[in-house]
Amino acid sequence: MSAGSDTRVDGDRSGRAILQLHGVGMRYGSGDEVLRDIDLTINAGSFHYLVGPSGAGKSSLLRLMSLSAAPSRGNVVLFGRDVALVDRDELGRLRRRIGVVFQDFRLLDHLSAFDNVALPLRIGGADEEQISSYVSQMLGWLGLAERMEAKPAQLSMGQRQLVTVARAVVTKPDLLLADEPTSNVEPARVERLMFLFSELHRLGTAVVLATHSRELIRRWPFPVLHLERGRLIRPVPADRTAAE
Amino acid sequence: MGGEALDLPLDDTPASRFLAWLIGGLVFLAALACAVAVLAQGAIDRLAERPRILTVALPAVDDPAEGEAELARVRAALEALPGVAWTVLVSQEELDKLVEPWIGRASAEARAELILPRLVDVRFQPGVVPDLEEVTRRVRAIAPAAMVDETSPSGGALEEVARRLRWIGGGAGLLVLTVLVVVVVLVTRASLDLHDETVDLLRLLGAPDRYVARQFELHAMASALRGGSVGFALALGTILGLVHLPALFGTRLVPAVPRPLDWILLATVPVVAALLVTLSARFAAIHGLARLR
Repeated sequence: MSAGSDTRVDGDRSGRAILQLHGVGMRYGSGDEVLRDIDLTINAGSFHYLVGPSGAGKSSLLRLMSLSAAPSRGNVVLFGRDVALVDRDELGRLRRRIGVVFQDFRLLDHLSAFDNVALPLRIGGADEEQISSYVSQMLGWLGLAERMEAKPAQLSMGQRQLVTVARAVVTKPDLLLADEPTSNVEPARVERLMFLFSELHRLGTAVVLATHSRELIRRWPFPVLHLERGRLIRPVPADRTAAE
Repeated sequence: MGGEALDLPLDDTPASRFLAWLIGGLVFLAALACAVAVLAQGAIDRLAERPRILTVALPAVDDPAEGEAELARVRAALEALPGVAWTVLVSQEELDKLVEPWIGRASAEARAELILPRLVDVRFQPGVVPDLEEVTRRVRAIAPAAMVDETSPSGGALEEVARRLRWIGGGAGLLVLTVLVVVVVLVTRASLDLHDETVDLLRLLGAPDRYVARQFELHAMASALRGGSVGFALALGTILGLVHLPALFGTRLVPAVPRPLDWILLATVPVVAALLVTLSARFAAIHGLARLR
């Protein structure tokens, strides 16, 4: 499949497209395009790795997918809605269906680990009992039961990353976008995180995971989206990427 | 745990941190201004409740016996009117004093030659407004040439000063509350700009504008309750001091004492301030957020 063509990949059980990018280009300010001619369909319940060299546009593509940036051309259709046409309230509703693991964590320093993870649940209007149950369970499962009251500054980099992951998945989103979610995490916990992502995928969440780790792709083989100089070149079979 | 903390660290910025102090100061000023207005209104009300007096002038008659009988009938008719406290015949000494500015201090013989009307003062119960036409009609049914005039003592300069103070106090109170709204709007906008990254994160997590605005609203309301309580307590202390302390030295600085209703009105100042602060913060936040996609 050539660059710019519709990139449909495996790992899809339902076949229902939840995210479609049509002829998308993106630039920051008046600079050159960092993404070019992206045509991509992500189906419900699919799992993709997003790979490419540094500066290829992985984070920009994730920003587009998470609706934190707008395309300079083309259109993005999320959960059947053209995001350029939806109103502010609808945009919020669409965003609440997405979980994002930010590469720079973006935790709120004045809140505890618990309250950081609880944030999307509170925004979604969950009651405190439910929040307490979900968040405690999630942090406990990630090995942070003893650190729930700690502020981000009191946590190690790896722990912060786990809190970021917990915040992204605690709502069981329809689409999980993770930017290098395992980069700071100790190997023993990588296993646990990948199990978590796989479980979400199994339960119907579409996962797009940006990574530089070939080891990850080798051990948990899923289809790969390859970005190079802002273009999505082709879907690469997992075994081949691992071999590379 | 439990959601006590706001998602936005609004106490981290100087403008937000001092918001409670600013609100406290403005509530203090607003309460003082409103106290001036309500005390002035109290004085006006009290002046309005002073007993009203009408004076009935009955022309002199030649026959003293007939005059006495007419006077008795008129007084009986007046005392039968609703709201009349009592009637009294103006004494000769008082009549002499009344005419003295025109005829000077005359001898008893000279005064006896003057044909003066008989004057009856009609004093009404406090708060009763006499119906001049009705009184005149009743009196003229007995003495057709009688004249009826209101001779209530005027509130004079005190009433005029009270009226002006009422407007000045009310206007100053409104001005201070307007300043309060402007301050809250500016602080909210500044906080919104300072916390743009956190606001951006909340919105990325799907927070609708009303959720983010609620953060500013709650912070402003908490500041208003804290600062407003302190400002109002200080204002109350000042008002009580101005009203009651001089009395200990046998003088009076404020010509009126607040009535229970006045205290209730004053107590609405911090409540209104808190409401205004909360709504202003909400409005400013919603308006500021509308600029973001």
